[in-house]
Amino acid sequence: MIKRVYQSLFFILAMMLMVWPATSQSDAILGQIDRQVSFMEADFSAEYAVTRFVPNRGTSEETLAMFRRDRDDKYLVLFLEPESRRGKGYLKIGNNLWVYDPDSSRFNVTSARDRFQDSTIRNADFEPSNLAAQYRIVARESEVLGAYNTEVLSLEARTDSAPFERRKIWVDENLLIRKIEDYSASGQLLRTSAIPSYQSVSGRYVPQTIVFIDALRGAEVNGSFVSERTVITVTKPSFNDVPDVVFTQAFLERVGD
Amino acid sequence: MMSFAMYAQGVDDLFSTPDDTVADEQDESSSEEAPDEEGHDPSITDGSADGDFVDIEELLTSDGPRISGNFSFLAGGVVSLSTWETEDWIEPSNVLVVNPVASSSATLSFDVQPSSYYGFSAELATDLDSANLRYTNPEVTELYFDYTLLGAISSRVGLQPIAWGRGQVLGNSGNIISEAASSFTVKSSIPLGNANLTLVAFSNEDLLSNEGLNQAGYGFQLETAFSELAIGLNAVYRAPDPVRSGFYAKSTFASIDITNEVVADLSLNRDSGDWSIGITNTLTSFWEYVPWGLLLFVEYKTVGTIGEDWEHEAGLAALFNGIKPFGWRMGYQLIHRFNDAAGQFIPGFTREILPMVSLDIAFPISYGNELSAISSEYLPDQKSAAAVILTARIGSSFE
Repeated sequence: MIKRVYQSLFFILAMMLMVWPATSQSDAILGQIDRQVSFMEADFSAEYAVTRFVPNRGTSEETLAMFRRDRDDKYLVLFLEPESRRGKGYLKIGNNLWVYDPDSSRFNVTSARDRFQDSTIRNADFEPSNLAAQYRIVARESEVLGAYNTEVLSLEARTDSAPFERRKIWVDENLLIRKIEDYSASGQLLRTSAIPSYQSVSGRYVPQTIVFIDALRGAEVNGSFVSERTVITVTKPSFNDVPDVVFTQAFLERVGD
Repeated sequence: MMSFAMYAQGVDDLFSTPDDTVADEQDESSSEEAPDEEGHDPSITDGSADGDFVDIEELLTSDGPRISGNFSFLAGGVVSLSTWETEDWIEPSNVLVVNPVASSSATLSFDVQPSSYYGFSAELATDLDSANLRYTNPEVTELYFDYTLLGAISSRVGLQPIAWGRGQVLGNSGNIISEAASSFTVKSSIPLGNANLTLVAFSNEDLLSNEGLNQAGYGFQLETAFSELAIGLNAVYRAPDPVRSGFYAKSTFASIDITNEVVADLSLNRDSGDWSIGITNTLTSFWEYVPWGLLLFVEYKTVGTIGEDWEHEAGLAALFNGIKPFGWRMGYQLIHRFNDAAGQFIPGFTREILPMVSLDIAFPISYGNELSAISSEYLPDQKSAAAVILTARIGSSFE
């Protein structure tokens, strides 16, 4: 009886030792990728020009101000244009994500998985990369992506907070994410994102352009399916200190009302 | 030109030209400087060197006074069935009622922000009195002064909008501060690390009289988060009303956001000297199904006093943003009361037919008993068992 217990314990330990190095290596790689585009030691601010293209309905443009304090898990997104949305904003503090509507002067709780303004962008896209905590690598291969030699990592969610159940990411030789495919649990492609260009600011990498292509939304144009797309162009990137007051509900009320 | 390419190209075509990060790598061998500890190449041009950044001072200040306003007008009709009782069909005119509806509102706002540390705002509003089709006298709905202390503590003094609470479908019972929204209020927001503390003091309009001060109310709200768990605690006291206190906790399980909010009303019976605690507990869950653009809210509310009977109510609201048959956006709401097995079901559809003009249609249906009769916001004095509401909305704003 005791022998069987020892055999079982040994089996469990052996399994743990086999799995642990793989998990640890996965965490290390994803952690390095996260660090390339997370700014733990400084505040970040920028202006985001968001252009949304909906087939058969044309394009719309919005300008946002983005303020991030990654070390405290905080960000604030504020609408600057168009005038009809000016003052509306999103504030994230830890696990709390509020959206402020200046028309009703009320903060509503929203989710990181929610679509940002019903677009291809998710609220989670404004957060620092957190792949190491949310995913594990289940497969990897090399692939040439245009001018880049990339490593393609297939990821599987390991927490409920992960914005998508499965992801495939293309990482270049600088460990910068170049392309992402987001999938549902059943393997349906939901969205493709591309970061064709980065800019370097104070020795850190900041995306210059991000393209989001919705695999589910679109329309037939001249007999073929055209996807809804959203392009973010990042300007005025800065790592100057952002005042504490910016990351408060009061700031949104002040700017929005 | 760049943007056009972003829309027209296939995804992989976007990577045909390398960006500066690759160019910098290729030049690395000729650079005398070595990458730093984090692997960054110091030879890369500093993008912030031009000093162009988002100016917070500019966001919070204005060159001069700003005037803005908005206007909305709604018109349509309601066909309502006043009762399910079949014997009343003898007089169908008493059962089936047709009413035109119209509503309109206009606001005019004035604000001046001379500094990022202080500013002033005011708002006048008027509504259409549908009975005589005249606009009411404009009322001051907002009049407040903002100031910031020590770069972090923000305060707002005056008549101001304020709302707490997490309820989505079955009313917002957690909004225990609602009384302050129509009062003279001082509100301060203080960041405490990862937490935020809001302090509120409010009084009636007759603030300077002794009676006004005696009727002053006080409240606070503290919100913070621990990993996946967000919590908030608040309380409001205004004599002689009971102390109202609320607590919520929110987390995520299997992609579903779960929030539980409990409000406790503590009151003292002055005759008997007994304390009683009224409890309202609201459990809210939120789930999004991306392929359909479905936003689903499910709530369960329990109201009662400890030691007495409790009332139970459930609500469901579903919004389909991704499925639009014939261009109509769909929404459904179901509210069911368990104690009397009665409730309401409201399917609704909306569609933009012209720029700034939307068409709404709803089919509210009640079931169970007369207490579940629907009260339309357009016909508040008239209860009905079922109705068809068709309205067109037009709205505009200026700055």
